[in-house]
Amino acid sequence: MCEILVKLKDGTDPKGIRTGDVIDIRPDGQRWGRLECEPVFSVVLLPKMPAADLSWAMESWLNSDRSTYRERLWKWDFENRQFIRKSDGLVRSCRL
Amino acid sequence: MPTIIPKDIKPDGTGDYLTLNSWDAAEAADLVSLDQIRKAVVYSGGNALSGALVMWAGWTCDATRYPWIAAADGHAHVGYWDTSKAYALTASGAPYCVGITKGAHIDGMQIQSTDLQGTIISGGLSPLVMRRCIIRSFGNNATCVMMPNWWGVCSGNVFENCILIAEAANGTPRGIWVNGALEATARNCTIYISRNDAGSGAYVLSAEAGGVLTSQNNYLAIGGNAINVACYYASGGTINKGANDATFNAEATTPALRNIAYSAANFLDVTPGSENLHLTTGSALRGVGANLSATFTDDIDGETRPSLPAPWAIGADEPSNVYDADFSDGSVGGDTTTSSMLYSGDVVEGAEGADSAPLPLGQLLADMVDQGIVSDPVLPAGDYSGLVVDGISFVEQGSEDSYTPGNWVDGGIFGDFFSAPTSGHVYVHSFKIYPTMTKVWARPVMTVTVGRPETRVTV
Repeated sequence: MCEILVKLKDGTDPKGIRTGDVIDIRPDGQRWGRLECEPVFSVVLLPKMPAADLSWAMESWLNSDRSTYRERLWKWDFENRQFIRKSDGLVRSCRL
Repeated sequence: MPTIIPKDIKPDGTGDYLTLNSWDAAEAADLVSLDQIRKAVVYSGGNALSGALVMWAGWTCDATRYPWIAAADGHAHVGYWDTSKAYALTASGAPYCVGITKGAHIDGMQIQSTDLQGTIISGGLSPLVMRRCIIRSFGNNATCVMMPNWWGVCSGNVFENCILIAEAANGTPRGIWVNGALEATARNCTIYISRNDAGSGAYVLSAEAGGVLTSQNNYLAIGGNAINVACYYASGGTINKGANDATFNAEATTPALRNIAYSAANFLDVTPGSENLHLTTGSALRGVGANLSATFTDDIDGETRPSLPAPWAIGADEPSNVYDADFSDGSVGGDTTTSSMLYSGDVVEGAEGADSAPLPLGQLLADMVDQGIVSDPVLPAGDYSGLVVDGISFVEQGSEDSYTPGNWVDGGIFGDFFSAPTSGHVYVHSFKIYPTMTKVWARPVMTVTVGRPETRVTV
């Protein structure tokens, strides 16, 4: 079981961290910082998902112009509780 | 003046954010419009990163309004890599780098990339300023600082009092690599790079075409095996070599500063992975650097470097040593000091003084030596015109009722001690016994304010 820290809103820079980007992954029960909460972040509990198995969720999106290293390749879909790969729409479900 | 907005980064969850990544994601802003400096104050207790920190998008900054990452007071490293202090680390497999920064100021941090090149990657329209940092890079093409011109160019990038270590299994290791039209200055840095397979080169300071890199008071070294091209100043652009740079090979501008070994003779520990690059007592880097006190006055440990005109040490560490000296046996000359040379910040400690004769309460003593408490510390004959001893103070003392070795009473003795010797003696003035004391014991300490490399003290 793990918890992920997900950004809740886009920044002002379109090349920056986006809504749904995962910022941190921790074993469940993590004590998060005072400001790691709404309205900037949401902590999502993923039952039966070990933190070590989710490192791909924080991969950067490496565009050829080097301008989007900061944005994540995967986006957390709050409604359907799944990850969506931004480059091709591939879905990884976390309905566990 | 910009407003400083501090946030605490505490790995135990008791601060504002767990990691710099969260801080970056939440705090990135147009600092120029806001007229702010946003500061991440990093505490020890764990890794300050959850992954590669890539902080250029979202930040708008200039030379006076910027993101600032600094170890909290008491949580900064003490001159060597130590994970019990504030640090930022990406493990093997992390994407590309630990920190991609645009205009950040970084103080007192330990930052390491364990895999792939580029512990620090910086460039853009605002300068990066790194002070008192330990930057390590491991893996292929290990590079401590890479400054490409991908996102724009600027001048005023500074690396000061930093230790940079790049140890590459293969590929091309680099210390500081400046690309076209960027300008940077490295001052009092200790930079060691190495590689261990045959192949291309190893470059300590590198400036590509159009890039400008100015070097002052740096120690540069290359180690490892089978390096085809070992280049200390690699320039397709401009490298301004410092007259007070020292090199492991013969590339230093000043002949006397060439061929200074990266070895235990000059540094406390050069064991790969556990380096402690504080200078040894006999290090050839002591007292041979330019005095840059008009620009900055500290070292990697935050200790004060000498003021003018005293020379500095080369590299990140300005040594401050404690020498044992027996001030109490009454002899003149010939007693032991563990080192032959004194520098600013050095401390000469005497042994505990003899038990004084009973003293009248509140007695003002014109000369401590006359009371037999300590003997007169004596300098050998010589020219001391550049030496100022700012005082003899007593770090341990006691009264008759409380005397127990190691259990001293603070504040029992006070006075006005100073001397500016131009001949052989350091004198003590205005010595007074605290009114409640009937006997005193004292261990004198002489602190050197401005030292000279040729200064020798025998007591």
